[in-house]
Formats: sequence, structure tokens, C-alpha cells
Amino acid sequence: MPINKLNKFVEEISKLSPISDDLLLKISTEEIVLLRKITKVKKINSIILFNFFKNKFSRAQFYRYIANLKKSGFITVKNAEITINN
Amino acid sequence: MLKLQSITKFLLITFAVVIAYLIIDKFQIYLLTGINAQSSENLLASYIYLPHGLRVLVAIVLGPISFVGLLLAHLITGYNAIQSINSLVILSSILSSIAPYLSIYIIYKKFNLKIFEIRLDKIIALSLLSAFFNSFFGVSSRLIFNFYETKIFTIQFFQFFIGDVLGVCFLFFLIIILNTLKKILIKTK
Repeated sequence: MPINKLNKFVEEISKLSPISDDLLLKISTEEIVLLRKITKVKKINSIILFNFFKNKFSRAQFYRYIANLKKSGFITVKNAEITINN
Repeated sequence: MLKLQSITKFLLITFAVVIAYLIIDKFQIYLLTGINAQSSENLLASYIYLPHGLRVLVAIVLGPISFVGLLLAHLITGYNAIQSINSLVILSSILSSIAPYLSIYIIYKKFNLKIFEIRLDKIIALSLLSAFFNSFFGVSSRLIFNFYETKIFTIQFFQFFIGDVLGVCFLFFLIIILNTLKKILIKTK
């Protein structure tokens, strides 16, 4: 199929790009908003943090974003306390 | 039924290739208006010849079925440039349209590529070889018809070659930018 060939062509050409997929923004805009808040206070309890955003996203989404930020190495979570990593 | 499908596919590809080629030709003229290039003619493929990048892309992705589309598009832009279809336009159009397919054949020993055969190193080699052939054919056909009068082959050849290579590079650069933007947009959605 030509469209598959085109995708493959684009994929191969994109290897020339200095911006790799790893360098691309791995976090979503919601995660950036969360990270901004955590950065301001340095250390915050997850429930208090959630209360700031409970009108914006659900509890499940909140914990998924926190898990992603933790996985990406931006924050540390210990005993429900979220700390920003330097 | 199958024959009708093939004809429809061929016509669609030809139409799409012609439209894409004309758009990229206009885009190139728009980009280069700053250096007093109002048509393909005064560009003379010496600065950045974007259509060559499209030729390489089309030849790899669509294969030999796109040849007629490329040839037609080249004839149209040739006509737009000098307001007539003469032997020079026809010969240079045929030779320039053949160049990417000839390069594919030299590198792969076939015309129709499979997906797994499309690799970066081969694409780069193909682009350079195709630019070489296109420049060689382009300048040769112009010299045959005394288009340049006093110009020397090598100077014109290198101008064409650099223009074609830069055209390919520019198109690749555009593809990279658009692909990166697409990835960012998908991630931020």
C-alpha cells in the first residue's frame, strides 16, 4: 500500500532529525500543570495536591499523571508525600 | 473489474502526482521570490529545486506507475516556464522523469520497492544518484539544443546538482518538521 510506504519513508527520514522521540515532550499538558504546582511548593501531600485539581480531572487521572511523573523521574512519592526531584 | 480498478488507481495516482508537483513548484517559486525568481525558468534549478525531492519521494513510494504523472507535471511546468512545448522541454522532461526510476533500478535492481527495502541509507544514496542523473540529463539536453550558448557543462552541471541535492534536503527537512509537529500534537492531545 502506498500509504504504508509513505509512512515508512517518513519514519526513515525522521531518523535524520536531531530531535529524537525520547527528547520529545513525554509528559502531557495536565502533567505539566501538576508538575508546575509541585515545583512551586517543593513538597506536597498527594491528597492536598489532588484537592487543587479535583475540578479539572478525576482521581484516577490524577494518580495516573503522578505515576507518569514518578516514572519519568520528575518527582519522588513516599508515604503520600510528593517531592520534586532536582 | 480488476482492470477498471487498475485504471482508476493509475488515473488517481497520475492526477495526485501532477497536483503535488505543481503545488511544490509554485511553493518553490514563492519561497525564492526574494532572489527574483518569478518562474521555474529563471530558477534554472540552480538554487533549491524542490520538485526533485518530490520526484524521489514519489518514485520510491508509488513506483513506476507514477512515471506518467511526473512526466505530465514536468511538461506542464516546462510549458509554464517558456510558454511553449518544444523538443527541449519534451526531452528534458522525459529524461528528468526517468532519473529517479533509473536510480532505483541501479540501487535495487528493480523498480517496485517493498516496504522493508525503504531504508535511510538507500534513500540518501538514491537521492544523490538521482540528482546526479537529473543534472547530467538536464544540462546535456540543454546543451544539445544550444540553450546556454557559452556556458560550460561542468559549471551548469554542478549548479543543477547542488540545486537538486538542496531540494531533496529541504523536502526532507520539511518532512522532519511536520512529523515532529505531528508527534508533539498527538502527545499534547
